[in-house]
Amino acid sequence: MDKDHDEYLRQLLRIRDDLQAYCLSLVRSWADADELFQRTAVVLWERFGDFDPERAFAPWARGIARNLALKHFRERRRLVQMDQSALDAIDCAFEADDDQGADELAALEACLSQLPAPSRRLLAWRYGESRPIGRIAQALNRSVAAVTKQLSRLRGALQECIVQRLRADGAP
Amino acid sequence: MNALAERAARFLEGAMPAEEAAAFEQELATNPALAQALARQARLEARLRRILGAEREQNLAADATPHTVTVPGIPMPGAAMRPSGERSQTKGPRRPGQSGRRRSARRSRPRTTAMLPLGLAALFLAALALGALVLNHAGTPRPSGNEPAAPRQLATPDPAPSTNPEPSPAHSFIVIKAGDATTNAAAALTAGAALQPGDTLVTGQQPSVCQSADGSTVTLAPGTTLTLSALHPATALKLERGLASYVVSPQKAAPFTVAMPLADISVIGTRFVLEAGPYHSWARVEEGRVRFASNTETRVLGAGDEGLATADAQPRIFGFSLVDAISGTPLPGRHALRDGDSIDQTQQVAIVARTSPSVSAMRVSLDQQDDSWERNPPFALLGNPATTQADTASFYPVKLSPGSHRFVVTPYDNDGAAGPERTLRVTIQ
Repeated sequence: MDKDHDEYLRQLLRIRDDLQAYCLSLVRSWADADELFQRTAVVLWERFGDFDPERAFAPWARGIARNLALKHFRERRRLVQMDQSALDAIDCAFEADDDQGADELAALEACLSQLPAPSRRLLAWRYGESRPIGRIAQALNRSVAAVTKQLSRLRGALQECIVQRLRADGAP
Repeated sequence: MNALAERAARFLEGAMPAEEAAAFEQELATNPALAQALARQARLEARLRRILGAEREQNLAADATPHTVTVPGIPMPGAAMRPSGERSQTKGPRRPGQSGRRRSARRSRPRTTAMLPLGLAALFLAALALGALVLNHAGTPRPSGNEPAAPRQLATPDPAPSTNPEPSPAHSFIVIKAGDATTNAAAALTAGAALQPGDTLVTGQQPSVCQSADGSTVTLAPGTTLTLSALHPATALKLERGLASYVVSPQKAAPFTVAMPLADISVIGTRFVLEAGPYHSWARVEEGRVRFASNTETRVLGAGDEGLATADAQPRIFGFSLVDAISGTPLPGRHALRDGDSIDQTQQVAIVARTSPSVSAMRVSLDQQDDSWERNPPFALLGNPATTQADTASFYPVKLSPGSHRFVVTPYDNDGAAGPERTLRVTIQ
């Protein structure tokens, strides 16, 4: 691989989770978000020669994803389309935590390792295997509402655990 | 979880009615705290997907090839299908005299899997996949078409971007984890090699993973032979023998197809596992729908359904799966238990035999001491509890002393004729 490609991959992998999360916040479906991310990755490589290494890579990548998402909205003829100010607000929110990716990932891994097996299994079904909540509810013989609530509690507990770990580690 | 986070999660799930979603989007512009909650939720979900998805990929890669039944004789033509709902319909009360161990008290403890190495492994795989995607898009020339190609050297990605972006990156099939696999075109494979129509991939003692540029992934268990038949208009594979797990991205042009000796399947985007042996072709769908066509029948399988085509009417055991004892669903990566596999019995698991439809009972010998009979399909080596119990378990979980154990299992048909016995050794942790 040439130097450009190495650098491109390094930059992209560094922001991969955040860029996928950004795509999800724009299109609200993991299937669409994955497609948007993949298209964004291709355009980023095509235009990598134009990238100014003195500037941050993440905002540049988000800008390209945003433009592709707007095209996505037009193609899907969505009745409700995010206006520029809402998109700006999302950009600002992502930019605020741009440098914490690695710390947050490590914290999340540690938090996950502390979960009881049934909770971890539930998360694995939902996020590792993308199982629909209805099927999880069926497998566990519970209602969809109960599974949704449990997932919500687990996400909340993980968020809290991440914050505590980052604080303990002295992160800003 | 606070109210903002809750709303953000519902928004991301697509669970909001259109009007509420529109109001949410408008509020984003004026409420920075809501935008931050949205970003935090989306980041958390992305990282959960990566960490837990990587764990799943690791499990899939560890999937094993079942032993094929070796009995004298030549496979007969013809096939039989297992009804898709058979498994759930046939779980009934235990019969008098039927064996089964008492269900143990449930125990659970946090998994101690080291997540950091998995994260690094995921990064590595992602780098290879993304590299392959981008490099292919940048113009690595390769023909596309349905005609099998003559044996040749495998293409390796060209790192130099070309000004000609054709052909489409959708027409590529990249090895992202080579293991000890070989092909008809090269003695050994390396990660990043591009397979062409006509290439046959043969795994040895290690698993191998391939990915098309649309993100569809095929994980080949050890001892599997898979041929890439075509890349255009959609990927077409032929599973000659062994076991492979598939995660197929939504197909726009044409169905993704896999041919097996006794059945063919076609899909437009789903997850499933296929197994082919001399006497059977088997499919299990994890998600989505799969069209399963054998010599005798064609049916559409939904999530949790299985299709089986057999070469003869003998009672046979095709292999053993490790399943979640509570839900009855196979554990990722453990569809096919290998002889000598380790089992962590704190995870509430059960061992279930995959059998031909003609099997009506199974004799199970454990460590040459304990003969028992299983008469209710799906046949678990340690039985399934009566449904009259308050407990909702599908199977008795494995509860054996730590160390090595040996099961010898003999299938019988309705007339009492025995099929070839199978042996399974497991190590209990």
